[in-house]
Amino acid sequence: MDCKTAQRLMELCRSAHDDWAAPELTGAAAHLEECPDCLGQFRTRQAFDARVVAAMSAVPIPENLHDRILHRLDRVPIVRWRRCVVAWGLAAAAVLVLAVSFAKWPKPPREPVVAASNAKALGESAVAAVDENLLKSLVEVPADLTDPIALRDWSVARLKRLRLKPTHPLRWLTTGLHAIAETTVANQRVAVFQYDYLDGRCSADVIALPHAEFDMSALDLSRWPIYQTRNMVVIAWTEGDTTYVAVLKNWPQQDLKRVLSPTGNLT
Amino acid sequence: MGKPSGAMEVTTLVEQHYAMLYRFAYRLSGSAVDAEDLTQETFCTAQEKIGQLRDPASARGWLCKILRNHFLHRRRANNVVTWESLDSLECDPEDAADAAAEVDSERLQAVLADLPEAFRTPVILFYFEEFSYRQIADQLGVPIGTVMSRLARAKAFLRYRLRPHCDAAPLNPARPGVT
Repeated sequence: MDCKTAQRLMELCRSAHDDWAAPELTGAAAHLEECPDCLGQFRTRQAFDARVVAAMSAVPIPENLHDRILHRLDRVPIVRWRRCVVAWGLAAAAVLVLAVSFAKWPKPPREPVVAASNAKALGESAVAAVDENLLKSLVEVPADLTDPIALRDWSVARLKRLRLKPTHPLRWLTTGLHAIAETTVANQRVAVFQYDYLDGRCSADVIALPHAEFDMSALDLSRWPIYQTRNMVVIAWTEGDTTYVAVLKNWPQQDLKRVLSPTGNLT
Repeated sequence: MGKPSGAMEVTTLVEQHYAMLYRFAYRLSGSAVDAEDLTQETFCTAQEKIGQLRDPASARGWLCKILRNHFLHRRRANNVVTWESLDSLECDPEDAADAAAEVDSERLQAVLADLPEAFRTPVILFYFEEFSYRQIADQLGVPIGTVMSRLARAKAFLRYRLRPHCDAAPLNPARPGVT
């Protein structure tokens, strides 16, 4: 190793440390043992370094600095707590905005699950829907509930518990209602209002089909019934944003005529 | 409200290192006010990030690194832009023979202030005798060879500027480039 390189490496060594043990400096250490000039230079630099070390540390520490640091640290937890609150608040707000945006986001139009032009299919769906085996969550009307308004309120409450939006049909008789149920029509959850008449000899099951899920726009409701067999008639009508399909079983002819009158007044 | 779990450890760090950190901050910034602010900010950051300190033995280096980051952040915030050449310091090693018999603390600070930060930080850490050049390399995040080179140049600059009969502080051409 030449003197210039050795002297440059000497800059990294401090007498009070084990810097010489570093592999990069072993060559310089060996050079010093062989070169009296560099050794003298090294000792001079070590003396200078010692003076700089002393001067470097000669910085007066301000009075009470220690206490001021601790005092400031005591305030930090509050700041951190506030930061957490703000951070969580912002996060919650962001989630809320996303949720609202998602809810308000225009959804693509849904394909009608029951073709409006196919009244027969609608009728068959309705008939299938009121199959007793498909009914779920059948809720019997309390026997002492005979007042029409109270009965309607009760049915609305029941529908809410079933998380079914449509309300009881206003144009249908409220007397005779004995149960509310949930069923499935074309994979959609719908409400069914079950009525008994003439001491149970005939019945009507009214299915509520929301327009949002069943396209009824092309259904000609002036030509009831939409589906008919020997003992059963299926009729339909619209109230607001809901189409109601009633499946009448074993109804006497005179009563059917009344129900199917052109006025369509079912109440 | 209770203190975070690391508060006691930070208190211990304060007890052990606040004086050293203040001196380091003063030598970096050259201002007692800035040095105190930097020291306090360093411990505040340490309290927030105490979980990152795995080895208590490395606390000193960890704190110095935080302090230097705060210092550099302040410089950037104050739009202090320096162009620091690492190649322009060439002092004659013979200058060592002329080194001052005594080194005055304030004069030392004036000379340090003329050093670019890239040279100033390693030489301060070196003379604090707290860090080996390997640890300084870790602190600065630069290769060991770079630290060796900077230390050699910075020390030569100090010897030159602290030599006797060099009371004024005219910038010597040998000073590391700051424009």
